[in-house]
This record gives sequence, C-alpha cells and structure tokens, in this order.
Amino acid sequence: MKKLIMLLFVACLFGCSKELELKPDSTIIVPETIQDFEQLLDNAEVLNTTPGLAQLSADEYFIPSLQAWNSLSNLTQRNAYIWNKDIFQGESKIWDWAAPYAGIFYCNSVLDILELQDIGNNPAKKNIRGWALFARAYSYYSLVSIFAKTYDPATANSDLGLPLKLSSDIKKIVQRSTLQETYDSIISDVLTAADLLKAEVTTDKRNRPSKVAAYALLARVYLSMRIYDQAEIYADKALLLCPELLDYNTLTVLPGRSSFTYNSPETIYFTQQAAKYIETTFSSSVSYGVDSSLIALYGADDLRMPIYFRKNAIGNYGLRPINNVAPNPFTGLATDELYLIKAECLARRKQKEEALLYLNKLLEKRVKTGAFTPVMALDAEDALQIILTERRKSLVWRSVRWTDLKRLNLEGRNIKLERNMGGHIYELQPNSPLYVLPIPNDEVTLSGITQNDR
Amino acid sequence: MSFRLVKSNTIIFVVLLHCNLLAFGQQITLVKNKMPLKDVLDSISVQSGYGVYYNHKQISAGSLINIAVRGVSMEKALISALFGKNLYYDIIDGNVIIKPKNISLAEKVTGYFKSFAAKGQVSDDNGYKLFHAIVELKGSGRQVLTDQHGNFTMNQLDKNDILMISFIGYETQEVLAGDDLSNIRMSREVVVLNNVEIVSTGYQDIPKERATGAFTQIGEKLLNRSVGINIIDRLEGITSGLLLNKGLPPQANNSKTSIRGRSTLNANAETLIVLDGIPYDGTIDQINPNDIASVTILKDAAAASIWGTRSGNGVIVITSKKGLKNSKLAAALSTTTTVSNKPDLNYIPQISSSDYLLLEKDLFSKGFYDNTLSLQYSAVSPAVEIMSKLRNGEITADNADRQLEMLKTQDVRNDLRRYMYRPKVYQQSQLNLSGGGENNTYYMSAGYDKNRENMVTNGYDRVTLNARNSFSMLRGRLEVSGDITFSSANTGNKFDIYVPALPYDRLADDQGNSLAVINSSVRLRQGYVDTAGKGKLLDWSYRPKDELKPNQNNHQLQYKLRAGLNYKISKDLRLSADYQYLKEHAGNRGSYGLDGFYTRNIINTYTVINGDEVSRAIPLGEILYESKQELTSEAIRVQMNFQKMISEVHEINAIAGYEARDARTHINNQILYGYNPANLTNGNNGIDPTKFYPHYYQPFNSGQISTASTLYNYTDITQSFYGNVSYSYDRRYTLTASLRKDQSNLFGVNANGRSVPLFSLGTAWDISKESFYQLGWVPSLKLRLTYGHNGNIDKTVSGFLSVQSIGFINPWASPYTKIINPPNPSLRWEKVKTWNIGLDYALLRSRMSGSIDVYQKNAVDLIGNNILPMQTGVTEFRGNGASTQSKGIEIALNSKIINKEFGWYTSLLVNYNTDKVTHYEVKASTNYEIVTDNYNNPLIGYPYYALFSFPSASLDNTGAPRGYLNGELSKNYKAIAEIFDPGQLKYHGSVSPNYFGNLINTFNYKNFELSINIGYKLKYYFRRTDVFSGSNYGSGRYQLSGYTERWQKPGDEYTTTIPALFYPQNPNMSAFFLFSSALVERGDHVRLQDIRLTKYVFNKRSAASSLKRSSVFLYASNLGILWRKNKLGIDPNYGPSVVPQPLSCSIGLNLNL
Repeated sequence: MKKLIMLLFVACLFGCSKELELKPDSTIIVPETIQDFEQLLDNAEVLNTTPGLAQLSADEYFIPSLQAWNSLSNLTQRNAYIWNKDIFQGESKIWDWAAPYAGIFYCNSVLDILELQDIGNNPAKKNIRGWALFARAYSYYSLVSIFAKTYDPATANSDLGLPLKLSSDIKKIVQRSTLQETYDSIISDVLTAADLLKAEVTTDKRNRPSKVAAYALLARVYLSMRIYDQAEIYADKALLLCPELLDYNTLTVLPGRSSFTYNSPETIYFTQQAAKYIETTFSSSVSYGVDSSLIALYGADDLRMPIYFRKNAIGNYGLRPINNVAPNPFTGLATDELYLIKAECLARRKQKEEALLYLNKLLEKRVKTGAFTPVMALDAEDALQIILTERRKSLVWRSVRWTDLKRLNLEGRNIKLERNMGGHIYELQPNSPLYVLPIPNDEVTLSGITQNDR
Repeated sequence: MSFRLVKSNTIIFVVLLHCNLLAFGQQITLVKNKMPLKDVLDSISVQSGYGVYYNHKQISAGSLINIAVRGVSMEKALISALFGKNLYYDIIDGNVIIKPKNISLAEKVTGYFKSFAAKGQVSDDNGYKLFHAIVELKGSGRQVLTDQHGNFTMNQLDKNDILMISFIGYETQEVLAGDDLSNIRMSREVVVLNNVEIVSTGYQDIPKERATGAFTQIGEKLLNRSVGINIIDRLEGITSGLLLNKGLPPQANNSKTSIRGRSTLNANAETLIVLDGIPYDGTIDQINPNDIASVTILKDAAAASIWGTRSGNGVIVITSKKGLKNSKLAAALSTTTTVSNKPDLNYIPQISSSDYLLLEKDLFSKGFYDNTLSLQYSAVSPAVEIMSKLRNGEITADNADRQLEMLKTQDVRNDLRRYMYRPKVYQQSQLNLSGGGENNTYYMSAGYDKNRENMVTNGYDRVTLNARNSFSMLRGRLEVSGDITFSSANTGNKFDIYVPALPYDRLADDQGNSLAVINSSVRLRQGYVDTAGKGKLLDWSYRPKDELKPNQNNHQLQYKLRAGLNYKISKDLRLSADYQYLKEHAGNRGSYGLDGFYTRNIINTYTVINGDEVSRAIPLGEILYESKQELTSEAIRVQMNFQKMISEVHEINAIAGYEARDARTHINNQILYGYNPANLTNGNNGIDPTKFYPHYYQPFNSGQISTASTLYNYTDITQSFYGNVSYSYDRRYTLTASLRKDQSNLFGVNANGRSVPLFSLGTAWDISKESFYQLGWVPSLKLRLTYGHNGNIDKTVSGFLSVQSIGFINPWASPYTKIINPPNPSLRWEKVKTWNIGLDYALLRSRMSGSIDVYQKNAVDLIGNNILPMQTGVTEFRGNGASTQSKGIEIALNSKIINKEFGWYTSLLVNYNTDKVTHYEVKASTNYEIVTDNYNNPLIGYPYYALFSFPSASLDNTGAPRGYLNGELSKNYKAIAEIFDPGQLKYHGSVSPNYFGNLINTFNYKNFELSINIGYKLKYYFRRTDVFSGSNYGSGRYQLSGYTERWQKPGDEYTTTIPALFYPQNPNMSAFFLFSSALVERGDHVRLQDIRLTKYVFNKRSAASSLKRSSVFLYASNLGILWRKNKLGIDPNYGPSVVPQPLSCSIGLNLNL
C-alpha cells in the first residue's frame, strides 16, 4: 500500500513539474525570435505616430473665431494656439512627451534582447537592430524639435537636450543631457542603422525603415541643425537609392476620399501625427482653417491645391490626407522633402541653376500636365527664397514648419507669428523662449529633470 | 477527523440549553448525542459547581452516551448520565464521587421480570400530536414509534427507566417511565447562528471544540433564509466577517466579496471558493443553492492557510447535501416565486427637460454647437436643430417656440417605464431525493429556475441535476463515492440597449408609433439619415421601441464528475483519494439581424454609392458573433489521514497530502457577416480584411473589417503538498500546525519564485474544562490563538519582458504586438501574515453564546501600481513593493431572550475592520492624483479605500467654487490640483465601512416563525458623482444633480454650493469642484434587509420516514433604509448613479415527504 502511495506521489510530481512551464496566457509572448521583434516594431500606433505640438504651435492654421476657440475640448489645444507660457494647465500624461518615449522603450527593449543574442552575420537580425536604432532616433528627433532649443553649435554644449534613455531598464531614471549630446546620440544611432538596414524601401511596408530612410532622416536632422553640407550629402545618398516622384496628374480627387494609399511611391518612411488634437489639425468641422496666406501661395494649376485641401462649411480650407489614407497629417520621410533639401543646400552654396533644376523636377510633378513652366530666379538668394516658399507649400502639415521657423529665425530671417483672437493679438517673436515647449509637469515632478525656461 | 465520524456527527445536536431565566440554582441542562461519559460528568460538574471525581479506568473511552436533560437538578442529571452504566454516585462534602454499583442478585433478577408498561402521548407545544416520534429506552436502544395520534406504548419497563423522546426539529427530552406520560410536550428546536459543531476546511472536518482557527459556518436553514440563484449572494447579512462589496469605486480592483477587509492591492482580490473540497473554477451561478448543505468561511491563517497561495483573501467552503446512511427515502420539494416592481428611475437625478432646453439655448447662442452643426452628419438634439433652423431663417420664431414648448413637456423616463421595464418575476423549484442503506447513501436532485428580469429584453433560466452516491465495502473499510452534476443556464439580453441621449427623448408618439431618436454611440443627425444615399441605403433611423427583443444569448453548460475513495488501512490510518473533472462550455452568441439598428448601421457605414451602383463591403444579412469558451479543469488529491487516541487524554489527528490542479480555458471568437440563418452561409469571404473600407459619412475615415477568428488559451496549473497536525490533551489543550507548499505556472518567474511555503500555528484552550474553573454562569469558554501566512498571486504580471499579440494588423497588413509587462526580475508572491485571537463562549446557561475574534493581517510584498516618469516609456508599472495592515474585531452573539411557547431569539453580528497602507514605494506626485487616483498609488498611513478631497470654501460672488492653497482662499484650481502636499487635503475616511453587521430577530409562536434581518454599515464615506460642476455639460450629459440649485445671481453663494454655469468650459474648475469636500457624504446607514415569515406544516398522512416538517414562507427583501446619515436620499449601497433594487417579495413552499 505504502509503495503504491509513494508511486502515486512521484507520478504526480513528475507529471506536473513540466506543466509548470506552460504559459498562463497563450497571447503572451516573451520576444526572442526575428518574428517576435518584427511584430513589436510593426506596432505602428507606437512607432509610426508623432507628436502634435509642433503643428499646434506653427503658423499653418488659424482658429476662425473666439467662439470656436472657446469650444475646443482640451486646454493644451487652446493654449498652444496662443503660445501661452504654461500650455498644459494641469493636464497630465501629455501624449506628445509620453508617446515618443514609449516608442523609445520598445526600441530599447528589442536592442537589449538582441544584445544578449549573437547577431553574427544574420542579415535579418542586423536589419531588426537597425530598425530599432532608427526608430529610437526618429522618436528622439520628434522630441528634440519640440522640447529643446534650436541647435546652435555655439551653445549646444550648454543648452539642455533630452533625457537620453538608452536602455529598457525602467528603474533607471536619467537627467537631461546637453543638446549636443542629444544630437550626437541621434546621429550616431542613425548612422549605425544606415549600416545595418537593407538598402531599398520595402514598397508594401513603408512603416519599416531602410537605408534610404536613414539617409533621409540624417538629411532632415542636419538641415534642422543648419549643417547644410551634411544635409546635402545625405539627401544625395538617399536620392541615389530612391529618386522616385509621384506625378499628381495620376491621382484622382474624390470628395471625402484620400487620393493616396499607405504606400505612396514618394513615402520613404511612414509616420503620421497622432489623433490627439484633431479639432485644430484635421477635423472635418469648421474649428480650424488652413492659413489663408499659405493658401494664396498656390497657383491656379497647382494640383496640390485640390489634393491637399478642401473647402469647409464656412469657406475656409481644411486638410485632406497627404501620403496617407487616414486623415491624420503625414509626418514621415518622403522624396519630395529630399528634393527640397537638396535644392536648398545648393542655393545656399550659390548653385542657383542646379538648385532650380531640383526644384523644377519636383514642381513638374505637382502642376497640371501642360501647364508647367520652370521656375526662374534672379540670384541664389532669390532661389533660396523661392525654395523656402515651395518648402512650405509642399511639406505642409508635416510638423517640419516649426523646426524651419526655429532655424530660419536663428539665421536672422525674422519671421514673426501672429494670432488674432477676437480682436486680441497674440505674437510670437523670433527666437522667443516660447519656441521651446514646456516639459510636462508630471515628468518634472517624478524624475526631477530641469524644466524649460520660457 | 475521520470521514465517517463526520457523517455521524451531522446529527449531533448543539448544546441548546433550555432553562428558565427566573429559575436560579444548580439546574443542569445538557443535550448531547454520543458524548463521552467523562465529558458529560465534567459538564455537570461545571454547571453545578460540584466537584465530580471518578476513576478513569471505570469510565472507559468507548462509553459514549446520549443525554437530554433540561433544567433538572444535579442528581437527576447524574442519574440520567449514569443510567445503565453500572455506576452509582455519592455526594460527600459537596463533592460527587462516582463509583461502581454493586448489583444485587435481586436487582439482576428483577431485570428479567420488568413488567411495567408505559403509555403516553407526544405532542408539540401547540398540542399537535406528533406522528412517528421516536421513544427510546435509554441505554438499551429499544425503540417504539408514536402512532398517528401521538400515542405509544412500551412494555417491559421499570418505573425508574428513562425514556428519551426525539423528533427531528424538536429538542429531545428525557422522561421517567413511571411519570405521567399522557401529555409529553416537545418544544421546537431553534436554529441560530453557529449552531453546527463541525467545521469543514475542505480538506477535513473538524469538531469545533478542537478547532483553533476562525471559522464561520452557515447551515442549511440560514442559507435558505433568503432566495436567489447565487449561493454567495445568500451569505449577505448572515455571515460574520464577510462583506458583499457594494458601492465601491469602479476604478479599484474590487472583488465581489471580502473577508476581513482587503489584503491585496492589485493582485487577485477574489475570495477562493471551494466546492466539496476542491477549488471551484466554474461559474458561481451554476451552483444551485438548494443543493447546498452548509457553507464554511475560513478567515484566519489556521483556517485558511491550508489553501496556500489562493487563500490570502479568505476561503469560502461550500458543502453539498448528501444522503444519510440507514435512512429511508426522503423527498423534498421546494418552490419559490419572487416578484419585484420596476426600478425607480427617478432615483438618478437629471436636469429637467425645460432646464435642459434653456441650457441648450444658452450654449447655442455661444456657438457651442457650431462645430457639430458644420458636420452634416453629426447629431444635434432636436432643440438645437430647431434653433439652427430658426437662425438660418428656415422656420419662424413662432413655429420654433411651439416646437420647443412641446419638447419641454417630454420626459424620457415615462417612455422607459412604459416600454423598457416590467416587473421582475423569478421562479425557482427544486426536488431532491435522498436516503441510504446499511452500505450506501444516495442523493439526487433536479432544479429549475426561470427569471424574468426588469428589462423587457432580459431573462435567465437554469436547470441543475445532481446525483451523489457512496458505497461501503470490505466490511466498511473501503468507501467509494461518486458525484455527477450537470447544469445548464441561458441568459438572454440585448447587446445594444437603448441609452437615452436626451432627457426629452421620445420612443413613441401618442398613437404608440415608434419614433426615431439619436443613438448615443453612433450619433447621426436625423436630417442626414433621412436623406443620405437617396433611398439606396438601408434605413438608418434608430427606433428603440422596435428593437425590444433579446439579440444576445449566453449559454452555459457545466458537467462535473467526482470520484472518491476512502480506505481504512489500519485502525488509525486512512487513505483518501479524490478526482474531479469539470467541464464548462460557455457560449455567447449575438445574432444581430437586419431589423436591428446595429447591423443596418455597420452595413450603411461601409456602403459606397456610385451613381446607381450600390456596393456594400459588408454583405446584406445578419451579423453573427459567436464566442465559445471551454473550461476543462481537473483536480486530484491524495491524502493520508491519521487519527489516534492515546490513553484517553492524548488525541492526535494529522493529514498529509498532495494535490494538483490543471485548469485550461480555450476561447474562440468569431464574427460572421452576411450570415443567413436558413442555410448557415456567410459572406466573410467577400471581405478583404487588409483593405481600408471608407466610411460612408465621415470624410477620409476608413476602417478594416476583421473576419478572422481569435483564439486564446489560458492555463492555470498548481501543485501543492500540504499537511496539518493537531494534538489535543484531555480535550482541554489543542495545538494545530499546518504547512503547505504551492507551485504554479506563474509566468516568467524562476523556479524558486514559483513555489512558496506557507504555514500556520494555532492553539486552543478550553478554560471551562479546567478543574479550577468556577464560573457557573459561563458554562463554556474557549480561547484560541493562531498565526500564519497565507498567499496570493497575480498572474497578469511577469518576470520577463512580455508582449501580447492583440490579433490586429497594422495598415501594412502586418500583425503586431504590444508590450504588457516590462521585465521584473524580482517578482514574487504576495504574503499575508495573520494573527487571530478568539474566544468562544456560552453565557447564562447557554442562553447566550457566541464568539469574539480579534485579528491583524499584515500583507507584504504586495503588487503595487508604481507611477513612473514618462521617460521610462511606461507610465505605470506593477511590481512587489507595498504593504498593508488591517485589523479588526468580529463579534457574534446569539441569545434566546424568550424560549417558551412564544420564542424570541436574536443573532447579532458586529464587525469592525480598518486597514491602512503601511509601505508603498512610489508616491503620488500631485494632490490631484491622491484625490482621484488613490487606488493606484495609495498614500502611506491611510486605507486603500481612503477618500480624500480638496477642502472647499463657499462660492464667490461670481458663482465660482473656492478652495484653499497654502492656507489661503484660492481659485487657482490648477495650483490646488498640482501641488503635492497631502496636508492640504481633507481626509474623510474609508469608502469601505469600518463597522458593519446585522441583527437578526426571530420570533415564533405556534407554527409561525418570523425573522427580521436588519443590517448596518457605519463610519464610511462616498463621493457624490454626477453633480453639476459648472462645466460638465455637453452632449448626453443630462443626468446631473444640483443643476437647478446652481449659482445664478450674486447672493446665491450664501445658499448654494453648486457653481454657476461657466462658458467656455473650465476643466480645472470642474475637476476641483467634483473632488472637493462639498461632495463627500457619510455612507452610514441602517437598512431593513429582509423579513421572512414561515409557517410550518405537518403532513399527517405521509410515509413512515416523514420526520421533517414542511413549510410555506413569505419573504421580502430590499425593504429600504431605516436610517441614513446623508440627507440626499442616496442609498450608499448603490451610490448616486445606480438605481437601487426595488422591493422584492417571495412566496415559497418547502415540502418534505
């Protein structure tokens, strides 16, 4: 009898100890494989969305009346419009700060696990590592353009940058780095990513980065830092791999429907602005209008006009999806931006003819067939002015205007912004400290990092 | 404790002492079955105050006697006790000496020639003659039964023989054969709390005298006091230490029940439910309460820690009914019908239609609706529509006024009452058959429930079947038992119930024709709906009155098989093994036809119209949603039971065992579009799940239509080793110890962390058995002391970085995952360390009895929600790092105030419980977080359910609320919210009552019994929600209180605390006001929980075994509040925004054949 009992005990013990390894929930995975990493980085809600504050603060839109402004549902939207000193006014878990850091956490998690694995010469794993590095840098760049000063080599070593979280350890809280360190980190991540990523854009998965995307991002970052020679080098590298432009004459315009797909041929890397501040950025209602002086810049035969905009119920212009199916503004990397960067850099080094050549290559695809006449300029500075204007017209609503305003003002272009709110005029002076948005208070309280002085 | 003893013990009677309050002196009352003679003598000694001396050798252990004396002299009690034992007594110097009786030859001879015949008649206190009462010659086992007239005759007696007369449901009595027996009156046995003397831990049954832990046992009568399909709900108001949580904040991780307060923060807060010894994984509603014999609540460590890591929140052990050996077939039929009225819709305050119209008018003039109006498709209320038309010159002012006046008179609640609600009717019936022979027992039952709910679309029905058998073989050494239970339940309801968007919604016109209203979740404008698609779309109007039928059915099917064997290896050792297999199929099936708005809306949304061509992404037809859930649970237990009595004074009981459980749930969800119920075809193949289909009305919006089925598996495996030893010395001192080691498939924890040893130690001292004990007025007094560790787990956290695949695809058709857990290498089990000191007592000759328990629970390593700075990428993180402490007192007091023809008995339960968080690693960062979100990061030193508020001052002369900032009056709401200084907050107290309990008064007279249960909850707070804050208006927000009392003109600030209407909306002001001290109320209240009136009936023509009484009863619950602290008419059990259950009345019949 006793033997029987012992046998029973042992049988149970043996039978169950293996079972104890079973997962309690089949949907939960500890990521290990290439497929696991891909699925994590394919989370476009986290990794392919960008903050909206840059858009909210820039001069591409207006709110038609005090009434409309009063009816806005959240305070950040109202305050960012008039460049209030405190824009959050008690609202917490500010998405514009939290979401990019969530993306950074995803990338760090993948990088930390890969660190423990032997990547060796596994091209798939190398690509994953490049993807994570690229996406991390992309998120840091989104943050730095909102929450830090414009890059100025003279002060970058003392200006405040971002807290640089480079590991997934959530217990490790970091303080703000210098602006120089932040940019160094972004650039070094993208450079490493450029080595690891496969060259071509994956034509049906444009949420994933490629070498082209890495170069395009470097071009964008260097341009914002006003390091124009580097910007031009990387624009060239990207254009060499991917020079394709989309002829807007081939697009159809249907009311209420996007003219694009998620895989527009110009898209190098897809990101979109999060659906946070819809009322003032892409709602179908009358709560905002595209800046009328901007609208006035488009010529009669400019196809961007019907494709990018539509009239709303009170006669103002609202936004249609660009390089996107959803109405969220596209903020990713695209070839049109590369042409404009290349043209601007050429103009800046007085290569007027060549600059206009690049510009016209782009504009040709934006104007009705047969109606295109190449743009001419008096001199290089005139060309630069034209290119900068075309930059506004082409890259509308991509969150690049805010960084452009910052860098152009730093070089003395003296662009003053104004909002008229029921007769009350709000102004944003060039190089004002209000160009640097405040860090959400809950972050400052919990991690003790330095708040921006505005 | 052996299994067999349990069975015999189920008929042990309580020490029910029947004595006259006015009669002083040494009167003895003792009613016991199969009690050792030694204990009987001890009891007589205690009650009489005489020392009783005897020789252990003469009083052998095996001499168990039955005794039933009430209010008799000591000598009479001694005679009864020593009857037939060849023992005699002497009283010398106030001491009683027991000695052997010298039997004379004459005595021996007369024994053979007893010639006396006793005749008598037995009736109850009302004079009803009792049929088949048992008359037994004490000490011989000879029995006769009374006839239909209550008469009996017993021959061959001596005049000094003692007859014991018993009848189930009545107190057994002893009479002298020589006395006048013509009118033997039996008095009714009254069942009060704590009347069962055996407690079950699920592993073993322990006689209460040997238990050291804190148990509460609820017997069948109390369980059936209330009606209802759920056994746990029936415990409310009758169970010491158990609270059914009601009115707690929805954010918190609340459990349905809590035993002795809360001992976890974010981990599993549910109480473990054990059914017939095995943790119950199924749905609680699948247990028919009529099949339940008793429920035991295990409260402290000694009681519960045997259940290991799942015992941290207490354990509820449910024991099913079984047949009894050597009993004839008994049948019991019970049936109950409960009716209750429609709910009181006026309970929830709302802005009146005319006020709401004025509000809309005001907002309209300020441009509040302009954005919405500019979207052609977006719903605005009929009033806004009228105002807009007036503004656009489409209608005249007169016309507009007339239409608005019409709206003023409408109140949606009238239509809701008329069309959506009906009185509730619940019907329950159950039949069971039980009995047993020499070597077997059986119990079979069938139950049927049918509930018609208040909502016209909702209903429930349930069928339960049970069969249990046991057989003894090998001359009683082996007992084999087997149970089969089956239950099937259907819940029908409506998936998309109508939620009024406006206070003046109308469901039907005066002729009863259905009217279209705004759908609160889709919100399309009627004007748009009427014209969109120019007739090519399906009807897009929402007419709730046309959709008053269920479209969702939840079906649950459960079967459970249990097999057990119990083998007596030797005199002291038994082996038992149990196996249980449970399978539960739960199917949720929603069939949404084209006659419903839900389906028409989805189809229209994904329709594209190009000229005359209509193309629908979703094919025409029904949308069928099916979710199938299958739970398979297996449990096995092998246990050794050891029991030994050494030289009469040392008693050892031990169990040791191994147990394993494996519960797996498989879920399969599938949606079918274009479903045709006639031939079971569907149109899913025509849908491209990767494609973005444009929305018909919202420009640029599009959506993917997922058609894939989703599958999940959940696996819960535990294995445990456990043991429990108890040692009693002389039945005076008891020591108990238990140890348990659990292992489970907790995710991502290394092997060591997966298992945890938990233990308990306990001791009990029966003071009243001590020789020095002299307190005659406290005949029974037992002290208990225990300490131990219980555990708890949270299977949602993980030690590794873990991600979850959500089954969605991104716009590039790639499946993706999200991170649900950052890595947490130091994850470990939660532990609850519990102290308990208890005292069981009986007072005034057991006229009063009960227990007092004092406890303290220290919960450590609790999983807390830590708030992290956003730079980590995670805003909240769950990990060990919190501790709580809870303390409490539980008092149960049963008393028999009058115990005569008219009886009055009371049971009083008093519970006191407080808890506080003693350690929490991460602190809140703002006062606003403390006030709104204290459950996520509780403040050290305060209860988990602490209620804080912003101290508020009166309104200012613009109607703006005012608070305090750094001691000064302030309207800087943002600063008040953002400051981090708990000292500037007002702490009110806990949201969970500090004191709660019940008082049950039971009266009986003749065959009637009336029982009234009054419950109370004291010292706790709640926050009023849905109060007008000046800014919390907007679409659909009309269920607000205080709107009419709002500040409207200077001077109002002296009479009201409700702010003025502010435009533009000021969210910071609104948040301040809604969380200010002005809206915190005391929850204290006393309620009349229920009343039950029972009439017992005797069936005089029934079969010989009909020993049980039948009864009919009336029962009423939700009788309302007797007293409440708040003056606002709010029922704190439901809160301000849930309609309380209306009065419900039941009538029922229990027939015993």
